[in-house]
Amino acid sequence: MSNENESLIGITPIYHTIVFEMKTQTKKLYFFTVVAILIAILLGYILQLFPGYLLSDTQAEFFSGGLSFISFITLFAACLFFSGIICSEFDKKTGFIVFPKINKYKLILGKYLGNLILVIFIVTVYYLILGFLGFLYYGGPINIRIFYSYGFAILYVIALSSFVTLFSSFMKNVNITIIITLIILLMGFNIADQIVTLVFADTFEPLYSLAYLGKLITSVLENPFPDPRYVEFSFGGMGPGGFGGHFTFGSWATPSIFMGTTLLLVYIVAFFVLAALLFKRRQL
Amino acid sequence: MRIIKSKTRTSILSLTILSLFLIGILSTSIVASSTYQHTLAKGTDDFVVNLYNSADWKTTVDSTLTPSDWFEGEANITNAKSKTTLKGWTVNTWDTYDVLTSIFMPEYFSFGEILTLLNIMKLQEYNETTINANYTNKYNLWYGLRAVWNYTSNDYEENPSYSDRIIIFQNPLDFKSMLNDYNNLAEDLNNNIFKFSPYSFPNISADDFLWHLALKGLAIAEPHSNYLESLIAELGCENASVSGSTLIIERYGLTNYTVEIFYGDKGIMASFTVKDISNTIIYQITSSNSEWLFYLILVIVSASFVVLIVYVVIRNKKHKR
Repeated sequence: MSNENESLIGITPIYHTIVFEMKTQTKKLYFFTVVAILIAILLGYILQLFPGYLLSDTQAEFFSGGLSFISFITLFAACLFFSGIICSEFDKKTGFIVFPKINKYKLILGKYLGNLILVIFIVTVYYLILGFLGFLYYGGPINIRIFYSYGFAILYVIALSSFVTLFSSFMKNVNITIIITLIILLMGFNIADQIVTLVFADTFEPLYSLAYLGKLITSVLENPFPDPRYVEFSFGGMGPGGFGGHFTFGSWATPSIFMGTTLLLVYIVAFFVLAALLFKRRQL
Repeated sequence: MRIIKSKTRTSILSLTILSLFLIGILSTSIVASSTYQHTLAKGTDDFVVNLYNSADWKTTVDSTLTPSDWFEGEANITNAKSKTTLKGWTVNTWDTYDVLTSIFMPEYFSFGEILTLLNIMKLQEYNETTINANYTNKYNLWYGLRAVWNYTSNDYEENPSYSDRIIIFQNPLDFKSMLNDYNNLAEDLNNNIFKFSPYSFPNISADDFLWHLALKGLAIAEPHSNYLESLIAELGCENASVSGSTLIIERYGLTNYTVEIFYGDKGIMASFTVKDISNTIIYQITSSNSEWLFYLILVIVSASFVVLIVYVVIRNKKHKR
């Protein structure tokens, strides 16, 4: 009984921090929820009001089309929600308090979980609207692969959030953290992927890239799953559309499900461990 | 005071922009208006074989035919299901050549035969230009695309069985011109090009034309009953009649039988019934869709949302007091 009480006493500060963090991030939540709803309705409903804009053949294709912006939403949400988790404590000097009223790790954990719940809520709203519209156009039952895609979206959000948290653990300022993580996630990974593909072609898969791993969200909807995953086009030739020439352009369509899931999990663990170590070192 | 004025201006500006946007969207359908209006809507319709009395079918329609000869897949199995997803449509204008190659020839010739025939015709100066120059009618239509899943007694395949088109001619009177032009052209071709050839273009009666149209998924515009009545009257069909949105075709197989095709809200087949001479149903397909369920859920969710907001507002007001 006493052990139970002790564990409850241990969890209570985390719970209070979660609730407090969620309340402080309400404006961001409203903003991102409205943006997610608008994008989902625009892609899934408004565009379909135009008779010349063809509806996809299948429900899975419809979901795949509607999810083309999910990586942007999750990326911006992760950067804006998680960038201040650790560095704001040092920016406002609260991280240097020698005898804090709450364990600092519990505080960070509470803040992280509070923000994670909000971002997952935004992603869930997006998927719900899309699923709902999929039901309107194709009837039931809802394709099971949308749930797989949702699972990968959640995993991707956690990976993104761990990445941003890592940066937050050693950066000094919230705004700089947002800018740097946005640049890396939006441009850095994509540019690196293109260079790596140009240099190594099909011999090296860009599995280091979070942007590449995020492709699993939509590719898991495809039936059959893309195979081969590396596609090469030749151009500059005499064939239709210039095909058949000596110049080639290759691209990796998606990671495999097993490798994608494993690496996302590895990144999550690695980024959190690194973030915790850096946070501990920063306090010393 | 200034703030209120500024807010009012912003509201008026927002409303004006919204109105312009809505007018823009609505005008796209207003521009396309004519006497008849299509009622197509993107979405999926499910079809189920409600009843198939094989014994009666064999003694009434044809012992060698089954419903699978009329509809693709296992349409000869009770409870077999099929579905079509309307993907979109555009406004189009067809010439006689388009009608010949898209409506008449696919009814009587295979794809390979069509290519051969068109090649022979082209060599004999019966190409698209010359045919359209001799037969100058033009037909305005709504041309839609849909994905079709064949009738099956099992679960649906993930991908559709085939893609099909859906055509609604804006003027039902066009069917008569089409048929006349085709029959004249067929006679011309048979007498000049295909006189000593194994190929010949059949002469098609109004009733046969209507039957083929009906089986190939004739779609109609609103008002449905007027459209169907005009179609029947203009074509001069002897064995067809209209009752509301239902097209009734009298057919003769082994005995007389009746085919009733009911056109639903979207102007496409909503039910297909075959009755024998004693008015007993021997085959029936019905359709349904889940749009109503979507709107029901939408109403419930919206109502719950409004209730939640009202509750939060009232609670906050009480807290403030």
